[in-house]
Amino acid sequence: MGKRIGILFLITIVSALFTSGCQHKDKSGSGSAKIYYTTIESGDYYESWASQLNEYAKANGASFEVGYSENSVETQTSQVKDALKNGSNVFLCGLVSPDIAVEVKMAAGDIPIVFINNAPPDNQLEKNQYVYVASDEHMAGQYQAEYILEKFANKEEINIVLLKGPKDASGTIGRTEGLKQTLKSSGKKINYVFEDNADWNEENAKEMAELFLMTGREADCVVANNDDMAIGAWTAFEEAGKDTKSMLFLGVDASTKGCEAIAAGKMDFTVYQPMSTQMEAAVEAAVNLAVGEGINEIEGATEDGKYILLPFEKVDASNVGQYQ
Amino acid sequence: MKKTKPSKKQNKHFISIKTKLLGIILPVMVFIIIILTSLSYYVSKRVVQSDAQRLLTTSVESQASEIEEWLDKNLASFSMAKQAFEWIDLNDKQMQSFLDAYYNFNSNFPDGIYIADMDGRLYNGREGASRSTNTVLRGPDRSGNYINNGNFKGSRQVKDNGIWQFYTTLEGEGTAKIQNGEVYISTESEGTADYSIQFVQPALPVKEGVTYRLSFDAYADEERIIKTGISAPDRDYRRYLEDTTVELTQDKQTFNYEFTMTDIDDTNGRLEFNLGAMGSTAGVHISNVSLIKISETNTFSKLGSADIVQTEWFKDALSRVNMGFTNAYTNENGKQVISACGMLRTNNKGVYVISADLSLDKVSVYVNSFVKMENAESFLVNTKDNTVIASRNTSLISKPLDELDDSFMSKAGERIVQNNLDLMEVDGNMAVFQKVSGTEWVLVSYVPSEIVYRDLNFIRNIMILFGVISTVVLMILIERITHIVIKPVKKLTDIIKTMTEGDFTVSSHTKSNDEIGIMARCVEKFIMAMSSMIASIDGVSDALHSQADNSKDISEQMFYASKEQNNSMQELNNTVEQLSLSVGEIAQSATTLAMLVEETKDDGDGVNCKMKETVTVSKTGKEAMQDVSMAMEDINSSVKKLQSAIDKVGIASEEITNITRVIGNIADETNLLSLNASIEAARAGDAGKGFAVVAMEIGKLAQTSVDSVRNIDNLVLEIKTSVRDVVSQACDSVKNINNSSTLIKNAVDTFDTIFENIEITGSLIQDMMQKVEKVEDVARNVAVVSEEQAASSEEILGSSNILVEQANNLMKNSGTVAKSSENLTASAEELTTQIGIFKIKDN
Repeated sequence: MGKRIGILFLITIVSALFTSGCQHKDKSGSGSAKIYYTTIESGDYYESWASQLNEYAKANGASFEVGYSENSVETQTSQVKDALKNGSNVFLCGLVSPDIAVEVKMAAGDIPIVFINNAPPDNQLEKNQYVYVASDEHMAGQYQAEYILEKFANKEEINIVLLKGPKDASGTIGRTEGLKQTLKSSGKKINYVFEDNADWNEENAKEMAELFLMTGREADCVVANNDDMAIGAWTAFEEAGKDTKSMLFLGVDASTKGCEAIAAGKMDFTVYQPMSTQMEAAVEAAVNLAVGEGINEIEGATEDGKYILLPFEKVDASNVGQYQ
Repeated sequence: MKKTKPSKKQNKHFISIKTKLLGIILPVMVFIIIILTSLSYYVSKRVVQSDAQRLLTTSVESQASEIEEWLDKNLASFSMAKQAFEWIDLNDKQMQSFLDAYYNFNSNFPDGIYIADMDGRLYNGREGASRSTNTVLRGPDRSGNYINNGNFKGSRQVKDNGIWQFYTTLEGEGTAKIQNGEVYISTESEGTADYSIQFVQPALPVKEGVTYRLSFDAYADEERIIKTGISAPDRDYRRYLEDTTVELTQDKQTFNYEFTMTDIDDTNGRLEFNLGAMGSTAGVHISNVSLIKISETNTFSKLGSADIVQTEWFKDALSRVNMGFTNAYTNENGKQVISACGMLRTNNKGVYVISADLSLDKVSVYVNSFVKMENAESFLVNTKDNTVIASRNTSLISKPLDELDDSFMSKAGERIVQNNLDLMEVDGNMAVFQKVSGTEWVLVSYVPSEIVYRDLNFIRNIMILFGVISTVVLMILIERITHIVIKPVKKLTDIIKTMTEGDFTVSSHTKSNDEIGIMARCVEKFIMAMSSMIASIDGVSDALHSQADNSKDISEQMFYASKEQNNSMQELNNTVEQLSLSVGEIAQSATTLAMLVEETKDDGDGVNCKMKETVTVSKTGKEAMQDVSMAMEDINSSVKKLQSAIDKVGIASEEITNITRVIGNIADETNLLSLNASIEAARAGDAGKGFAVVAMEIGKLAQTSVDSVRNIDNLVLEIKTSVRDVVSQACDSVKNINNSSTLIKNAVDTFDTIFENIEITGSLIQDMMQKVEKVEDVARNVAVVSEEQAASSEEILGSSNILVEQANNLMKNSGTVAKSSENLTASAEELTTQIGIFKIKDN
């Protein structure tokens, strides 16, 4: 008998929670989107993200708030919880670490989250509830590989120095995979004479390139996961008196420095990561999810409704002017 | 017949209610069970399949993360060591002790860390080196000899202490004495081991990487062998110079042996001469013992410099600064390893490569033993070149997947090349792929599908069994239920069937209170009603039968009687006819007599002349009279006969009258019975209809019998009166004839007298004439009477004919009555048989 009462009690509570949840949703559904952006750390990079996101949010008639987690898991989850109390109805989230996606989701309750900046594991995403907006990292690597194959169409064997970002970063993994797979499928013999994680850092890349040069091995091109590392490698090669003209230096991002390097003839190729379209898509997705709509209409949305992947653009000497 | 025909037809297409019910319920039930079973099988299959997938995926994910964690952990410790090397600028010696410290430091990389430079120099840790790094080896003497007192100066007995030492053990007995620049070892008992007698010099310094030469002069009192060697008492007596057999002769010879010290430096080498159990006790002389260094090699290079820069790990290390893993390969010790390697940051002091071999055993353990699914197996593939890193089948390690004979493995390889790492079900295996992050490795875990489906097959078998059993049980149950429900109906059907065949002895008594029970009770009532009715009809029919039998007997008797009567009548008739004929003849004769008398009278007139004629005529007359007399007698007897016949007719008539009276009575009774039967038949309703008809027929016959009897009675009465007339007439005739006869006799007598008196008496003729006249009158009367008699005879004849006719009629009618009686009997019999069909209880 006591058990039954217990079950009844449980049912009552659950249904009460359910109804209250619904009420909550209804409240938010009637109004406009209230976006809370929590991201990895403060600093120019993410602050510029925040300000641009804010603009897009305003353009979409949504309110916008931002919190920097400073690489702390605790800070990030508490920010999310606070924002939930303050009535936010959708999150933009740059995860401090991909591993804490579950924690952030728990903290957010049933509020939808649009992940940006850092990719959560695929199995943590859910159609029209937990989505990830990013550039198609794979495509960046693929573009690099295609450029190399085009330039070295006559070569049967290509020696590549590969400088990668941090080991677990989604950009590192996607870009490297895209590059390697495309090169592998070309059927040419590809030798990675040097391959290491320079962690997006120019100095690291330079030091590594110097060490590589000491081995006396030959390299045909330097491929980096971002522009900074490509520039660092270029500097090392240049200082070692190598003929950098006959080599290819490839980066990703089409950062200001990268574009300058291309314009100066140092670097040969980069891909433009359209941050603005990414932000636009992220805000659009957030607004849609806040009012209970799907993301299918948004450009770049995958069929499974879990991703919005935005294309890169190729940048080389011929079109670098457009990106400076 | 009418009843049996449809029943036969029913039999032809007879399908019992039970069959019909079972025919509908069973297929539906079987169908439902099949549907249910297959549905649950399908659902179970889906569940089992997805469970297996999930389990396999979970397993491979956890394996991959275990491997990853392990690799990361090791990489982290290597990176720490590497960082230490980069931070502390070490000289060669310090570096060596640093590397030595890592030797056997961690079971994952027992060989420790090693560093190589581009010139092929290798620095690696050594076993035990960390414990005796400050070994100081004493030097040799001035001649370079490491043996002390190798030329045996002085003279003394050698004991178990001092520079040279002598030991006996294990039953060995002997002595050693230094004198005259040599040592002489004499043996009394060679003992049981080769070291039973031993001459040694301990504490010899032996340096790693140095090649030494041992030399000495020796001879024996007899040809024999001894053994020599350099051992390490501190290192389990391992041999630096292996035990060597030396063959001694009686002539002094010089022996030289070289060896290279491969172990690390040892201050306590031990030169041994063993003279124990080798088959001889001959004394041995040894002199000029020396151990000199021939050459010393670089201690750091196990491998040639060219070899090192060509090794897998060295080449791989040059491609990175942060430590990373090479492919799996077999190292110089023949072990399957992967190396974590990278370049050292040396501030431009040159390229140094740091590397450590990780035994693949541990990876194999993760790959082979951490499979969390029963019967599943895994193998680890390096996607760089699609080679196997770890597998339960160790022969596959380092081999490319596409070169393997195993088609499953090659297909898995294809999938890896295509970078399609979704679940794969091929060649009877279910396989999942998992990238080991931080590496280019893919862990493939697979399980034979049949294992996955084994439980499913079990479930399927159980389900089929359950389905079959439940079908059978339900079949039996339904059959039984139907049987029980239908049983009273079947019983009732049998009862009705029996009833249809006329057997009402059955009983449909039941306790059931349902519709069937009501039906049974109604039938029971019907049976009882029918039984009582049939019983009453049976009684009536029996009575009718016996009556009909009686009536038949009587009518038969009557028939025979009337037949007899008829015959009698015929006879009577014949008699009457004869009588009539006789009377006619009498009449004729009387007429003739009258005519003759007239003629006589006429002739009498002519008395004289005619006397003669008279005499002849008289003669003739006399004869005629005799004839007449005879005829008269005949008539007399005929009449008498007639009389008696008529008397008989009278008696017969009387009997007929009696019989007809009996028939009349019977017919009346029959009529009454038929009336009763009709009433009973009417009561029996349709069943009695046939019987009513019979009863009516019987009634009619009885009526006809009565009518016939009445006719017969009348006829017999008429016959009686006629006979009585005939009798009286006949009596008259008899009287008359008797009179005539007397007269005729008289006439004859007269004739005789006449005839006798003619000749004498003429006168008498007159009298005679008168008398003739009288005769004439009489003759005339006779004629008249005869004629009258004849007429009467005719009348009798007519009556007799009518009597015969009536008798015939009577006979015919009697036959009809008999026949009717027969019919009646037949009808009664049929009635009895018909009633006999119905069986009722004897109450």
